[in-house]
Amino acid sequence: MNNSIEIKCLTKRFNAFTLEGVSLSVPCGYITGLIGPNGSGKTTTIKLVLGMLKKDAGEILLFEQDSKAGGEALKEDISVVMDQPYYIEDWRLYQVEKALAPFYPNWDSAAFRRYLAQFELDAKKKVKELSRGMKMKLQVAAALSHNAKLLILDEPTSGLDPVARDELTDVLQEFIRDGERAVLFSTHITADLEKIADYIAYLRDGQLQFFGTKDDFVGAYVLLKGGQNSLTDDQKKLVIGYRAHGAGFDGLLRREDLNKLPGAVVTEPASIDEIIVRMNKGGQ
Amino acid sequence: MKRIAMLNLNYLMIRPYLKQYLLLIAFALVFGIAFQNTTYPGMMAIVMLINLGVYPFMLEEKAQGDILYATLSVRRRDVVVGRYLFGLLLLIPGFLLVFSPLALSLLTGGPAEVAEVAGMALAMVVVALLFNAIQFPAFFKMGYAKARYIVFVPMIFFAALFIVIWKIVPNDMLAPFIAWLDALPTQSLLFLGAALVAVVFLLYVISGVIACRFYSARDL
Repeated sequence: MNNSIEIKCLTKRFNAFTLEGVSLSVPCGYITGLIGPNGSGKTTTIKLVLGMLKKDAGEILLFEQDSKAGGEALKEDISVVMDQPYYIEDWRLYQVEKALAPFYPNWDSAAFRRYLAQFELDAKKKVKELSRGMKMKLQVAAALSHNAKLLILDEPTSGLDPVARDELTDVLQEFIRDGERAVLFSTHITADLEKIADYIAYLRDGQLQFFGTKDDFVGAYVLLKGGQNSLTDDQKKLVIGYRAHGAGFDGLLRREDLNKLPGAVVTEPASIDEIIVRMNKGGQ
Repeated sequence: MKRIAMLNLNYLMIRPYLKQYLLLIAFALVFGIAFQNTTYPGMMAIVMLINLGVYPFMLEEKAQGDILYATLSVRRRDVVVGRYLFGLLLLIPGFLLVFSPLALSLLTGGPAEVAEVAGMALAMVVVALLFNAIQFPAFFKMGYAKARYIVFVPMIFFAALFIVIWKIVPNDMLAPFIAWLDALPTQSLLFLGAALVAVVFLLYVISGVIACRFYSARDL
């Protein structure tokens, strides 16, 4: 099996937003980052994959089977970590396990307890007594306790401190180590993906702007800096998110356009964050 | 298996809130036994069943449980079936409550009003299942917060209809019906009760089918 998720021409229309013709895949053995600004369609894509929303067009394959036809059996191999846990706030952590375990034939109680211990979570505590970081860890503990082949995370690191985010990225790298499992990680905190993502799917305004390896994504652009008047008007049009300031200008440039600019400009490697911010500003 | 898992999930949802009912049940029992009256435990059972049947909707709305279900390995149809089974399962503590004064009465050699208790049990089953049959599809379609006021409309209609019949229809028109009921032999009354339960149960099943369609079509 090559891909745990394969999405083809996925479309979902709302009154004020449309996810249009998105095609991407989540290959086994890798972490795929789903990135884009708020409202770009990341959560909609994940909800469609999980069957929370009905698609208007397109195809979703999970483990090479139609997501709808595969039904509940397919979901036994999927773990989901959302931006917050949707457990009853008055449940104690051992009750979370009691509630979830019957849904999964492969539930591993020992693994769940081990993760609780690893994350320093007290099984007798109530969900409502946990901090945001602890709640995320609880979800991760549950997600890793039924031998899932695919882990889907929707904005799990929003509001987490750097230590908790670092712990999570370690867990994700461990999860895919055997090469058989895959991670789809939606976030707008791209620093996390900078460290661990292998593939990037970049959404903006409901449309897929890029899908490929992270190295291709980052390598396709450079940060550009230069003095005032160093670019002609035609050359400025090539710069994505062109920003003039007192000392000159800066912006983002497709690497392929580099030879169209004068040698006086300075280039630097662009981070995922910088690419998204500039593209968002530049509207390209 | 997934329906059993959903039943278990429903139970775990309301479990933290069950203890508040224990005191009310104790009061109802004490009054029921002290005054040799099965109405108190019966009424308490009806209130308890209606409340506890709605609790999972209320709690899952607060915790956005629909999203949790969508992440679990369970079909939407089984979410609905699990909730309807849970509604039936709640009848068991209801029966225990309704029949407890009778059981105590028998144990202590007191008077045993079997017919009265059976009537109360019948009323409990009919009212609880009808309430659930009306409310559940609306909750599954719109969620608890949006539907909670809408579900009162048919209930107010039925209550108003009952009051109108009771107050406006002359007593001498109802008297023959009541006399006919009084005159029925026990066997016929039992048959009538069983038929009523069967009809209500059928409505409950139809309600479940409608709820399945509503919930399956809903965007979460």
